[in-house]
Amino acid sequence: MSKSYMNEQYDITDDPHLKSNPFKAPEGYLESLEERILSLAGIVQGEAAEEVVTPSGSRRRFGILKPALLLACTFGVIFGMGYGVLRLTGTLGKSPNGEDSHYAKMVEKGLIKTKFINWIEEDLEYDDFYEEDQDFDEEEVVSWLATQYSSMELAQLYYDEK
Amino acid sequence: MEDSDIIALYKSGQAERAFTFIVRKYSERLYWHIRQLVADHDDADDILQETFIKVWNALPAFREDSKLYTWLYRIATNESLTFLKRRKLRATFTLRDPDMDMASFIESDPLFDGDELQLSLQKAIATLPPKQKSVFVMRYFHEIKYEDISEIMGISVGALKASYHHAFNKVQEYLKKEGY
Repeated sequence: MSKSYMNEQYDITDDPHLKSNPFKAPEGYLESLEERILSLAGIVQGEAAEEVVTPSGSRRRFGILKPALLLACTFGVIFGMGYGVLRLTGTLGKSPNGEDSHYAKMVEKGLIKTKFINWIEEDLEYDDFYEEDQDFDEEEVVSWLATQYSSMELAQLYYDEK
Repeated sequence: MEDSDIIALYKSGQAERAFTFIVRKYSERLYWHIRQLVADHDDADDILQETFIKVWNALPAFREDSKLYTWLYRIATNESLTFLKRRKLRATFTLRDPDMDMASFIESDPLFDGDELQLSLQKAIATLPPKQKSVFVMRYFHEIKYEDISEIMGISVGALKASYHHAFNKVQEYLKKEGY
C-alpha cells in the first residue's frame, strides 16, 4: 500500500498482507532446527522418535559396559601390535643393544638359578660341569694324568702348586 | 500428534520420544514467536535453545492444569522478556535508545524480507514496552485466543484486552505519523 493515495486513516486489521511474516530464517536453519535442539538435550534423533519399545535390560547393560569394553579392546589391539612388532624384529627378550643381558648370561652359566629354571632342569640331563656331588675314581685320574704328562711335568706341577 | 498424546507418551515413561515430538511440533512456531519479539535471528536462536533446555528440564514438573502449548509459549515468552529487559538495561548504560537500535537493526537486517509498510509496522512494534509487545505479537500475528494469552502471560483476560487495545492504538498512531 502506497502512502500517496491514502486519504483515510489506515487500519492495520484490514490488511492480511501485514499479518504475514516479514522475517526470513537463514538457509537450512529450520530444516536442521529439530536435530540441533534434540542434540542439545542429548537425544539422538531417530532412535527416540522411531523406537516404541524401551531398551531391554541386557541391551541397557551393554550400553553401560560399551565404553569399558571398547577401552579394553583398544588396549588389547595395542598390546597385540607391540608384541607382533617385537616378534617380527626378533628383539623380544633381548637388551636394547642386541646382546643377551648380563642376567641372562649368568642364568645360562648356572651362576644364578631361578625357581623356574630349577623346575625345568629336573627333567633334563645335567652336564658334568653342573654336577656338584660327582665322585672321581682316583685310579682313573692317575692313569689319565700318566698318559697326558711325563713324570717330570707332574713333579713340576706339584712343585708349583705348593 | 495431539498434545494429549504427547503427554500420554511422556507419562508412559518415553520422555525422550515425547520431547522429540514436542520439538518437532513446536520448534518452528516458537522460533517465529521469539523472532518477532527480539527481531535478531541469532538472539532468537539462542533464546529458542534456552527455551527448549528449560522445557526438557521442567517436563517432569509439568502439570496438566495448563495446556502444553500455552506452557511452551509461556517459557518462550518469559525467556524473550528477560532478554529484552537485559538488552534495554545494556542500552541504558551505553546511553542508547533501545527502540531506535531495534528499528535500525530491522532496517538493515538482510533477513528482513518485508516491504515498506511491514518495515514501518515492525518499527512501531519496536516502540512498545516488552509485555505489551508480547501481547500484540501473540494476538495480531499468531491470533492466539485471549484466554490462552491469559494463561501464557498470567494476566487476566480483561487486562489483556486493555493492553492489546493500547498497543494497537500506539501502532496505528505510529503508522499515521509515518504517513499511512
